[in-house]
Amino acid sequence: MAQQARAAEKEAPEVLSSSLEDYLEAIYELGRSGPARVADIARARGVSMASVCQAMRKLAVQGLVSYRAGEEPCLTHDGLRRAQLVSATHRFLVSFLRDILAVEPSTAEKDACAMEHVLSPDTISHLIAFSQFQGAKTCDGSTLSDAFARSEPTGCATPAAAGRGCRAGAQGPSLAAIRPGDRARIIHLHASCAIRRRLAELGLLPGVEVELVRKAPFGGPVEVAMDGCSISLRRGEAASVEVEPAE
Amino acid sequence: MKPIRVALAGNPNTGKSSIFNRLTGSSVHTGNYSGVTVEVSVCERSCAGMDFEFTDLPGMYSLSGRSGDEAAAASALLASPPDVILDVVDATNLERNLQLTVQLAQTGIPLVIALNMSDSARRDGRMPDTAVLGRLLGARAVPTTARTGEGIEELVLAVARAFESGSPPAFPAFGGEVGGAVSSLASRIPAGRFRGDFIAALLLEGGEAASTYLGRSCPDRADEIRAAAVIEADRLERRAGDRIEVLLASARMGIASGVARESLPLPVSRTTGPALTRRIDDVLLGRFWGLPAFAFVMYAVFWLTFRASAPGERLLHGLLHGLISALSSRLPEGPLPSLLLEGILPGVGGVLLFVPAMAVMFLAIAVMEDTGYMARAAFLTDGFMHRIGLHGRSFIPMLLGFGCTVPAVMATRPLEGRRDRLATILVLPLMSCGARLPVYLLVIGAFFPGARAPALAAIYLTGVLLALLAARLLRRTVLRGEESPFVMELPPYRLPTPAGVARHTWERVKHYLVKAGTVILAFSILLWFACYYPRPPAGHDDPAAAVEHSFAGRIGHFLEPAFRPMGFDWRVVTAMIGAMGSRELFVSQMGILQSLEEGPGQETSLEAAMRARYSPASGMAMMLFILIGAPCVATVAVVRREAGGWRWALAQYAGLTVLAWIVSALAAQAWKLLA
Repeated sequence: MAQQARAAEKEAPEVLSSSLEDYLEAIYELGRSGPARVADIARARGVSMASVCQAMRKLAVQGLVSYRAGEEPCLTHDGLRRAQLVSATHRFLVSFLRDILAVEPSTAEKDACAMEHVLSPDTISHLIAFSQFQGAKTCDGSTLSDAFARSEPTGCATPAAAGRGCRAGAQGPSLAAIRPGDRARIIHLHASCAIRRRLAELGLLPGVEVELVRKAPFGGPVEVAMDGCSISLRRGEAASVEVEPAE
Repeated sequence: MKPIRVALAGNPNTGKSSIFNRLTGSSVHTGNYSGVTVEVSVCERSCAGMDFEFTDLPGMYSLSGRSGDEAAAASALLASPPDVILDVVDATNLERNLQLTVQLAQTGIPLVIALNMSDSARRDGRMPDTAVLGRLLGARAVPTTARTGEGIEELVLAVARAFESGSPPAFPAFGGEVGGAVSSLASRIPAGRFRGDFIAALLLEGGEAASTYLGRSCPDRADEIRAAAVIEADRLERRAGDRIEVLLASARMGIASGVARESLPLPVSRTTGPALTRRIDDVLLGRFWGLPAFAFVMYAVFWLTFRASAPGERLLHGLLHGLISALSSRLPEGPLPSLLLEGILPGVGGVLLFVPAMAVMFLAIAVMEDTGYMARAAFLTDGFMHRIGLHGRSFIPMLLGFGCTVPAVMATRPLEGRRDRLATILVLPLMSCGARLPVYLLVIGAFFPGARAPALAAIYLTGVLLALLAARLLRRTVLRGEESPFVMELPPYRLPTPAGVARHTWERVKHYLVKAGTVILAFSILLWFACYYPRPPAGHDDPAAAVEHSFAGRIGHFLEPAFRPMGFDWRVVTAMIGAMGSRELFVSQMGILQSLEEGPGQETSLEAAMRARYSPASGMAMMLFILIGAPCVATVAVVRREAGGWRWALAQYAGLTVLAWIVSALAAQAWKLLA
């Protein structure tokens, strides 16, 4: 059973089990008031420290958490985004059930925990639109706001930690694998959030044709030329850019 | 009347600061690499009967950037919306630059586009049609060349006209699913100074600046809208099958490419950067020549520092001694003449002697900054720096540290990772700043006259190596984990203008001249006082004994045992105490002591006196102690501000002082054993 589940996770890295999502949320919530230690997470989730460590290792494999035994786990950029989403959805659902549908608070909390993992993003988006439509009548103006009040982006986002895991995802040849002088077309950016953002801003986007100009000595960065400008990036970063050969 | 508020925005290294300097007549620092400007500068100017307030923003690729300088630019723009946005675009790289223009046009604020570097664009046959560009974006486009001043007056007029008409630029709307998501989120955002679509797109990307703006403009609904943005972004990612940053950047790129295609002349010659830059880089960044060339460039800087500055130094030396001997024969004895002849003149003058050497070194740094070699140095060293745990871009502040540590600490802002940045800041004082140069030159002149350039290169290199070792240690212990991306533009080489290089050199030299006239002067008077009073009892006429009797002599004698391993006597100890305020004061204090002890009429040079008194081992220990020990007051202040707290500044202060003691004591002892 467990093996099957693990195999399934490997095949579809996008799907997180609901328990792992809860762990992300716990790290995020605890992370506001200081570092989230394994013991704190175990207490918050009511599980043993061993299960927390196991979950952290799984999350680390997916690049959502940077975690080494003996250290407090830390959300990566991608992990932070994911946790924010889970947390925002949860807070929204609780306040929706409690304030608009007038469900009893404890039931609202419990149901929200279950609903947040099964409702499609589409449905949630529509629910939000609906609650805004309703909001004028039922909300006292601050309830919904309170629910989201603490969903500000905080936490210890570590861009590179996600970068470490990102290379495994590349399917085709990467920008680091082609030879100086070769031209290639970018297919996909597998990099972590911070690097992906930078590459995209600089115009290294899917569909763009680039030339690998040179590689710096001693495993240093590579220089990539595209229409009108030269950009340097580390080999590890270039390895997360999937390309196809272009003539 | 209130001035027209104009914000200069644009990609890094498009010449915003150069345009700003042209517009306002100010002299903000410029250079040919990304991230020169790290702070927002504001300057007012009247022109054609109107008042303008120009704001120079740090360069940014988009308004949701994460590094310190980019975030500062975005939040400055969002916190106080300007009347007109002046978008400075690199005309030679239109398509990429227009991505930010698209974002700026979406703000709904009147826009003027400066097509900068249009001389290069015309030469390459890539000058866009300003009429077409203006029509498509609903904003006036003015060709400019900041280095020659072309188009600056037209730019001012265009800004004034944009302000008067107040008409927003054309709105470049996104299509498809991205457009749908943006406008659905935008419908929830109440109208304000910025268009809802602009804020919505920023929120989807998770931009901090937009989130803060929302909290200010509609506090009661901000959290609800933020949550909707997170959920909407997730939905969009699932539908479109890519990440939100890539989707939005692709959407902007789509519009930018369309505009660029329409406005560029046909056929567009698709080049991969200027051919000359390519050929130069084949050597300077080549696998075989890259690092040797880099080492050669750095050594040439030290060699030049001696060679080119020697005549100037000799001239100043002659002038100073002529002045002292001329005055000493005419002035009577007493405290006031002594203050002038044995305090101020050797104290301030002794430091001024080394201004020519500083000027040469600053000139070399300015040339490296203006040609575009800085980014290449980062490129060449990143492989090595990365292994140590630093960032290739850390190398740029480190090179600037050869000028002065304070701006170098500021220059760490473009480093995205906080720990990368902290590690760099903490080791920056180990880069020998200009104030240390007089000390090195004095000591090298006294003890190692046969090998001036190699000795100077060696002490600079020692600083660099210690900095790298310290950084590695920091990254392995207190600043573990977290690396930030090294994605950086390599700008084409540009020929520096003599005026530009001269201005940069002068700005830095001026800093030291002003310092010599203020801080060094004040401390020289203080040091002279400490060395002159209390006077010995009447009848004891030996000037040397009088100095030993003074406050400075007593403090020096008291602390001397702690510095015995380095072979420092009480004189050097007091000079080291003086150096805590500012490095040059070491030279000032040694000069003051020398002239007081000798008494009037004697003419031994300071170098000769030092050679007679100390061993070369002690000389080396002096340089090492000055290199490493206690950062100066200005450094402590800037580190406290940039690293965020006294904790780091004080830890750095204590750590470096202890390290200085250990290294200089060990080195002096080792030298003695070997010799």
